[in-house]
Amino acid sequence: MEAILASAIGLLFGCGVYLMLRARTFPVILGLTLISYAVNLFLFASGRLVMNAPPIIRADITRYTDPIPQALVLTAIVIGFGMTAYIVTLALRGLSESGDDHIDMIEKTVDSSPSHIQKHQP
Amino acid sequence: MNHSPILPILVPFIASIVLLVMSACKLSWQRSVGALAAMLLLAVSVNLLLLADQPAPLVYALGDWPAPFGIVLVADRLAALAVTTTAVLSAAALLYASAGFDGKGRHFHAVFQLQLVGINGAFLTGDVFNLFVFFEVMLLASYILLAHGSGLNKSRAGFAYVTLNLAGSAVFLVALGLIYGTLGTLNLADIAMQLKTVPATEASLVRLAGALLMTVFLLKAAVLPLSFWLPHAYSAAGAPVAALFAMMTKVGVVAILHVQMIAFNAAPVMHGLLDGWLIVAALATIAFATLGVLSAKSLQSLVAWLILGSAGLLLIAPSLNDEVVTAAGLYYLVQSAVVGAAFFMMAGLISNARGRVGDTFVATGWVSDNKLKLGYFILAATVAGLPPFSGFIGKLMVLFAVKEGSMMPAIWAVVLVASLITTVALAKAGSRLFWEMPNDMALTPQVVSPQNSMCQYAATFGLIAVSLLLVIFARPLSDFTQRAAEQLHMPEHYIKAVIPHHADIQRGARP
Repeated sequence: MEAILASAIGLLFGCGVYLMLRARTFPVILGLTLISYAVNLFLFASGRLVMNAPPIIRADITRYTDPIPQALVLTAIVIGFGMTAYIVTLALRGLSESGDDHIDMIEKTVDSSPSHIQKHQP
Repeated sequence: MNHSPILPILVPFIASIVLLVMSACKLSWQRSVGALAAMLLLAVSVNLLLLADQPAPLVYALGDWPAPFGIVLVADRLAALAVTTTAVLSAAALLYASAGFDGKGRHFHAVFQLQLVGINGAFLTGDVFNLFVFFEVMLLASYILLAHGSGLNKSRAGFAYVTLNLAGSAVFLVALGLIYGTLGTLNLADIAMQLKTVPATEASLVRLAGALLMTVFLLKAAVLPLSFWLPHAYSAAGAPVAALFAMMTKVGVVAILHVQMIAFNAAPVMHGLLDGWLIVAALATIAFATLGVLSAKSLQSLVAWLILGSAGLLLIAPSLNDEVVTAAGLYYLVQSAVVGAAFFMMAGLISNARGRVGDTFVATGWVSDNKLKLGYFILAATVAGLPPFSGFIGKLMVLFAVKEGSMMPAIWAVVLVASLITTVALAKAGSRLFWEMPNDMALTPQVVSPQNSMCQYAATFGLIAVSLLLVIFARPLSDFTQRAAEQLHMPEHYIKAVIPHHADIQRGARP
């Protein structure tokens, strides 16, 4: 169990970092998402891995799983979701403003764009 | 229970919700609500500052759940001072923005208040997970404010800024997971106690967690290898937004001070975590920022580099870990935030007054507005550290505080040379902005520029007046920062106020 979780976290982190280093906005956003998944799994594991145990303390139960990391993960997921939504809109705005999804967002030279030439045809 | 520690968070939070509901209303109504909230925030912050000036910090347990099980807000002197500084800056920034900048996009006022929620929360929170949450609130609002208005450079700077901070948040969460996994708590005072009894098998994990946490704070504070984002982001933001951002690098420094002094200092596992290398990084940041000041092509980017330099100087305090240095650093923190914010606004004013060329260092001829020249002169002299302005007092206090230490020659050399170069760069920038005639008279723009409104002048010169007040009242303020530093370096009071009976807490065995 620990080995599976640890390798999953490592794999997600590795892929996330690789994608984040790409030069287009979409892979960067995907990379950030993968990293946030990896982090959520990591946070979840910080309460130790316990199988088939309730996350709540009751009189008749001696074996339970730590509920705090679950609450933390929930918070982290919500925040991560909001951030991803925002960065997607920001990337789209950059795309519409520069006509390119390169992260440098350099404005494309208008002359080379075929759609632009067509627009000005009589 | 005294409710004053939560008011600096609640006031902007309620204002933000009200403003979101009012988003269809006229801008003038939104401005009034924003102004009312800013006034209220100023009042509750000053109230908190007066209340917190005692040996034991004010502790506010949300829902009356006691720490370490519930969430607490802790208002010590440092937090109260930082909150008050934020309130002053935000009032000025809001006044400046109300001259028309707020209409360039939607929801400016609501997001502005949300940003204040995040900043104040990050100062006041007593546990590290809520520090993360408030950081995220602050950052999300700052992403939106940075992109407020339009322009490709804002999208570009915004995308890099958001990506970097999301990566930072991931590291932050990993650090929190490690801390919770090893210590079983996220409350700062409780961390301090638990760190004393870390088993040897987990010592290296705990130390790694501490190092990751500090890395994230250093990213926010923009220390050298992690500082390349700051000049781009801050020079792309609108003037009032950048003015508020001047406080955001300080959030990182305050977080470092809180975590280091209260939780890490007394713990043997964290011994020497920041020793040796942070001072080198801080000095390198100052040197790097000074080179940036020389290379800047517009006034706003020059000010962004100046903010970076002041962040480097501030980091001398946590890296030397000495009470006198911390006290001096806190005075410098307040004055550099005020002056940095005023300078960003001044850059906006000058940019408006010069019309098409804006604040770029292109000669356009004589600028007739003498108020701008006077303001620029005061701000430039303050930032460069010339007497009798507050920058001089701040730098002098830091330099005198490090006089005894072994790092004294390096710090004095870097800070003094940096000040000299900054003086030269600012003098050159000023003469180019105001006086230099273009070689080719045909280039002189004849465009009639939009006039600066009274609001903008009032906001900018109000902050300049505050910076002059910091000179006049330097003694009371430095006494206060002295007491704040004493409190930070005596974490027993803090820990006892948050968790009065630590030994009595029942802890279940971890699975």
